[in-house]
Amino acid sequence: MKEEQFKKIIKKSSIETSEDFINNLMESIEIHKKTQKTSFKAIRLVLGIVSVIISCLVFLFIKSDSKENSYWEFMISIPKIPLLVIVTLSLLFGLNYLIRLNEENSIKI
Amino acid sequence: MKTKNQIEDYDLIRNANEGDTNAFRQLVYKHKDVSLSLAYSVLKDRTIAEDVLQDAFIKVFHKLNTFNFKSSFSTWLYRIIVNTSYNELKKRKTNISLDEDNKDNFLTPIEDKDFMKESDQKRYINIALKQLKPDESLVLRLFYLCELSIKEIEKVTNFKTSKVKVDLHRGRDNLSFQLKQLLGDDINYLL
Repeated sequence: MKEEQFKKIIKKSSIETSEDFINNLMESIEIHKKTQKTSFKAIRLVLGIVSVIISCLVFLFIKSDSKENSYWEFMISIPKIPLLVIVTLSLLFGLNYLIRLNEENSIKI
Repeated sequence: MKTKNQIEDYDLIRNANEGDTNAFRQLVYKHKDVSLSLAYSVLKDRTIAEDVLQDAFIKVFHKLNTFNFKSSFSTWLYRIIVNTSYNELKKRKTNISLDEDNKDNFLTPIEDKDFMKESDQKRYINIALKQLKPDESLVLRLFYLCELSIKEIEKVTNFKTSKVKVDLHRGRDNLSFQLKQLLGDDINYLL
C-alpha cells in the first residue's frame, strides 16, 4: 500500500466517545474540585493535631530532666513507655490518613 | 508559525485558565475523538480507554495553568494521554486480552459487493489495528491520524527515533497484512 492509502485508511479509524462523555467529565471535575477542598481542610486538621501531639511529647521530655517543680515530678511519674506507644500510634494513624488523602488526590502525569 | 487551530486552542486555554469551564468544554470537544483513538491504540478496549481518557482530561484540567504556550497544545495533551494509557496498561496488563471487546470484533459480511458502508470500513480498520502491538498502532495513529512528525512522536511517546521509525514500518506492514487477512480482495473498498 502507498503512503497516501495508509493515511486515508487510518484517518477512517478515529473512534468517537460516548454521547455523555463531556457531561460526565465535567461532573467528575466538579466532584474532584469539591473533594480537593475537603481534603485540604482535613489535612490541615490532621497536621494541627499531629503538631500538638509532637509538641507535647517534646515538652514532656525536655521538662522530665527538671526535678525542681512538684508538677513536673508528677509528670515524671507518668509511665513513659505506654505514653510513647500511644503517641507513636497516634502519629502513625495521622500519617496513614495523610498518605491516603494524598493518594486519593494525587495527579500523576 | 502557529496555525489557526493552535491559536484557537491557545485562546480556549487562556479562557479556561480564567475559570471559563465552557472554554474547557470546547477544548475537550475538539480533541476527544482523536484522544480516544490514541488511548484505544494502547489499551485495546473501548470502555477502559474512555475511562482513562476521563482521568487524563481531569489531569489536563488541573495542569492547564502549567501549559507554557511554546509548544502545540495537542502534543502536550497527547503526551498526557499516552502516559496515562501506558500507566493503566501496566496496571491492567494481566487483565486485558486481545480477544476482549467481542462486539467490536464481530464481523458482518459485506452485503453490497460494490460498496462498503463507512461504519463497516471503520470497524474493519479498527479490528486490524487492534491486532497490532500497542506501540505500533499508537505510532501509526500519531503519524497518520494526528499528522505528527517523527520528532513530535518522540516527544509524545518518549520513544527513540529509531524505535518510532521501526514501529512505523512494522505497523504499516502488519496493518496491511491484517487487512488482507480480514478482507482479501475487498481491501480495495477501503482505498
